[in-house]
Formats: sequence, C-alpha cells, structure tokens
Amino acid sequence: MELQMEQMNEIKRALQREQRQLMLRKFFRNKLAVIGSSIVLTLVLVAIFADVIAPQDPLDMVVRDRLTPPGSKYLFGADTFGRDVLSRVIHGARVSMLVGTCVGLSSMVFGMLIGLYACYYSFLDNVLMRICDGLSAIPSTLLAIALMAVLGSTATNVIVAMSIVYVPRMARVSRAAAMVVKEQTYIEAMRATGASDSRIIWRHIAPNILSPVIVQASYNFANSIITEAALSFLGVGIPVPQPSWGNILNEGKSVITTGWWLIVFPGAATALAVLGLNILGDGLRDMLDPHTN
Amino acid sequence: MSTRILEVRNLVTSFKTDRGIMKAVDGVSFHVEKGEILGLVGESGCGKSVTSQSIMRLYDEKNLVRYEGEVLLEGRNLMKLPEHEMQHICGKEIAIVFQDSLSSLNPVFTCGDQIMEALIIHQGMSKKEAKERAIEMLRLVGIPSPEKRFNQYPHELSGGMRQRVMIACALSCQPKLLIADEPTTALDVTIQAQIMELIVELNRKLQMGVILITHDLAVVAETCNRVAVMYLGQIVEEADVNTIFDNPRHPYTMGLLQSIPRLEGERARRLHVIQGTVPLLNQIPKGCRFRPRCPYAADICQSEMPELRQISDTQFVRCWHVEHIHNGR
Repeated sequence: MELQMEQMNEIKRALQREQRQLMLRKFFRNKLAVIGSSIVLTLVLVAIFADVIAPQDPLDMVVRDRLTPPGSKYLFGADTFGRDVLSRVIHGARVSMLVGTCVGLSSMVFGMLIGLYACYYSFLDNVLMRICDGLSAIPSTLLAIALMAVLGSTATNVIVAMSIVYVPRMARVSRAAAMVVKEQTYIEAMRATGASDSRIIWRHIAPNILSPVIVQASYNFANSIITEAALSFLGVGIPVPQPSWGNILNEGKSVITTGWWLIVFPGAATALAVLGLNILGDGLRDMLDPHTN
Repeated sequence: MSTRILEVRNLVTSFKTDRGIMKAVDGVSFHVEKGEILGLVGESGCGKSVTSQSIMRLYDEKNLVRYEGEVLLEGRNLMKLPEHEMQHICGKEIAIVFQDSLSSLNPVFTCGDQIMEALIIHQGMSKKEAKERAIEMLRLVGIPSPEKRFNQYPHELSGGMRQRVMIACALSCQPKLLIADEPTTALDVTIQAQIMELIVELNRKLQMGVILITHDLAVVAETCNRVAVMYLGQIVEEADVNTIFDNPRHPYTMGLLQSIPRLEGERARRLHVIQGTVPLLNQIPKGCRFRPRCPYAADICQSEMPELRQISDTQFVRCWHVEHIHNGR
C-alpha cells in the first residue's frame, strides 16, 4: 500500500514536471511570442542603458550639421537643430518604456481595485462601473488631451492622465473575471471559514483573476506608448526638449519633405514597440488561458 | 441529560427572486446534541442545503434572502448577531464541508495554506505554529505523508484526498458543530465509506455535534443517531435512527425507504418509486405538501396542513393519518 502510494507520487511528480516544461515549451513553440518578448526585452535594455548606448548627448546641438541626412557621422541623420536623431530615438525609448510601465502597472492596480470591489459589493457596482462607462465613452486620445490641458504638461502628468484613460478597461476585465471566481464554492467555503471581506477579495479572488489582468496590462502598455507619442506629437505630452518619439515626430513634421529621417526612425521605433508588446500579449494569453491549446 | 449544542426554532429562509418571494425553508425546528450525528434526509430540492447554509447565514442578506426564526448555538441566537461577530462563529464554532471537493479548494493555494487560513484568522497563530497544526490536522484525517501533502496544490490530489483536506480545514479550529453537506456524493463507494468512518471517528473523538446532509439512507443507517426527513422546506418526520427504519410513520419516509433496492426477496419485483417529482417552490400545493404524491391522500389533506406532532418519546410526524399508518400498512 505504502509502496504503491510512493509509486503513484513518483508518477504524479513526473507528470507535474512534464506539465511545467510543457507550459514553457508552449511559450517557446509560439514563435510570435518569442519574437514579441525579444523585441520588448531589447527595447527595455535600450531604455535602461540609453546613456551608454547613445553615441551622443541627445540635447547636444551642432548647428553646422543641421538636417544632415543619415550617414557615417549621424547614423539616423541630424535634426533641425543638429542633434543626433539616433541618440534621441534611443533616449525616447526610455521615456516610452517608463510611461508604458507606469501606466501599465498603475492601471492594473487601480483597475483591479475597482473591478474587485465592484464585483463584491453590489451597491458599489453600479456607481463604479457607470463612471468607468462614462470614461470609456470619450475617445482615449481626446480624454488624455483634455486631462493634460487641465493638469499641465509634465512627464508625471502624462502618466497620471493616461492611467485615468486606461483604468476603466482594466476595471471591466477584472470585474468580469472576478464575477466568475466569486461564484466558486471555494469562495463560499472561505466565507464559511469566517474570512473577512477584504481577505476574501485580496487573498482569494485576486490571485485567481491575474491571468486576464496581466494580458490586458500588456495591451494597455502598448496602447499607452501610442497615446504618449500622440500627445507629444500634439505638443501636450512630454515637454520639449526632452526627447520622446512623439516630440521628434513633431519637430520633423515641418521639414517632412527634406528631412524624411526625422519621421521614419521615431515612427518605426513606435511601431516596433507596439508590435512587440501586442505579440507578447497574444503569446501570454495563449499561454495563460487554458481554453486555447 | 446531554447538552444541546444547536437548536433551530422555526427557521424560515425566503429568497427574493424575479418571480416573487420563495420560501425554501419554511418553519424548520430541530436540535443537535453534543457528540450526536443528526441526519438530514430528503430528495434534491427539499431545502436540506439551504437549511444548513442558513444556520451559518451564508446567503447575501442585503439582496437575496430573508431569515426568520432563531438559531441558537449554545443558547446564543446567531440570527441576531452582527456580521463581524458572525465571522468569528463561522469556521471556529461551526464549520461546513461542501459536497464538491474539487471546487471547494482554491486552486492557487496549496492544501496547507488553506488549512492554515482558519487557524490564522481565528486563533491568531503565527505561520509556523499554523503549519505545525495543519500538518497535525492532515495526519488526523488520515492523509499519508502529510508534510509532503502540505505543499501540494488541490489539483494534484485525488477526490478522496481533497475531501479529507476539506475536513481538515473544517476541523482545524475544533468546531462545536460540523455541517457535512453531502460530503461523499462526488466520491466512489470505497472512498465514501472511508470518509464516513472518518467523520464518525472524529465525532466520537472530539465530541462535536454533526449535521449530516445526505440522500443516501444506507449512510444514515450506519452513522446517524437521529434523523430528520425534510420535504419541501419542512420537516415531515423526525425520530431516532432505529425508529425511522423500523417504524416509519410518514408516507414520504416510507416511500424513501421502499425506494432502496434490496438483494433479498423476489427478483422480479419492481423497484418502488414515489410518484411524481418535488414541485417547484412557486407551486407548493395547499394543505399537506406531500398530498399530490401521497398514496394515502384524503380530503382533509387537501384543505389543511398537518402539524408536526409528537407520537412517542422520540418520534415526530407531520401527517393526518399517523394513527392509521403503521409501517406501510
């Protein structure tokens, strides 16, 4: 009997190991997910080591070299003030990644907070979710511009404004997931154990809704990069002269016929970042969602 | 004279639904004594589970449900307690084991974590103390190599093991009353027997009261001291276990007993069934609730509802024809 149990356990452990490996293999077999995560990882590294990688100071003006086309001296060319576009794009990645990370995390935290409480307390549900509906009704860029107009344009305010824009989506996703979890017997069992409401919400419901929340957070990350670029392009985002992809585009638009490199490189960087994040999001969804195989 | 742990008096549980108010439990009274196992028997939809969950006030009182009557736990009326005091009772003084062992355990925590929950909440134990106690509990419910099981997740265990973990969770704070809501329904027969033996053994060892909800009369015969038979939210017959099996007086109880397949006797005899099904709660018949399905139904059954009458020291029956019916004759 004891021996049998031992063997059973051995088999079970082997199966579990298999399962864990399977999950990783599933991720690595998904080529898009691997590509997406390597793009994102590269950008994150570029953002962290921007000072080391960038060949020049992004704010350093060499008036003699203004609008130099891409070449051996300036790989991505120089802008209207004679600043190195490559260095500016590299430092722009830092801004984009910082904004994306902060917005992704803060919308995740506040979205889960709203979603979980709305799901658990029906009297809060209507109030909170109608506010979220109201916010979602306004186009996100427009709402972000309006908020920036009120708050004033600083880097911190960009993050605050965009978190407000992206919280409602996250709230919706986490509320929907929490509704399903809340009806499970183990939540009732916890209430029968005498756990307090907040303990049930944070310790027992929250971990069970993490996978859709993480996927949504990766999409929010990507979208906030686009919105930040749009805000900066319109001149209400990251204040100049700080380099951000949107700022470089903005400065380039007046010389678009002569200085194509001022549009193409930051535009391509934005597209690449968003593409990578979206692919990563899809890969995470496939990996975390048991229904897709 | 043994002491009463739980006394339920005229419990009414009504649900507010779109189709009006439905009384799932309608005036139920019973009691549980120390060290006693009370069986709560009936078909599906008779209000057994609702009764048990009403005792713990698990339903959402703000929107869904209204309770009336009294639930006295050692003389204290639980229905009058504020919510936060109720949280101290649930899990500590009364614990419940649900029937579905797979979905009763949170998939993201290890078994050990879940047993520790109650200990940390109610006993204020540190993680280390709680862990020792949890392993002790796992050993108590007969799980081999508990130290290993402590770190395993629910999906890694079999159904019987999970149900044992559930029982360990329920018993971790040594409750005075354990409610076992069809604890063996989802398990196969050999495991069923083990789990029932375990409950009986722990009941003797810890001297706690047990309410065993089941529709398996064989389980009742082997484990319970007393039995209450429920039909449509009411208790129709209550007696000690021998009386219920030897001398049932309510037609519904008799019907249930006759519906058990037997090995002895004529092979060709068809299995007895109770005619019809349990009506929906919005279609409760007037008069005696069992009348439409009752072979003894008479005029009086249609017009007036019988009271639960005491007919001997231990037996209570809700039927107009008690005097005429003896063991199905």
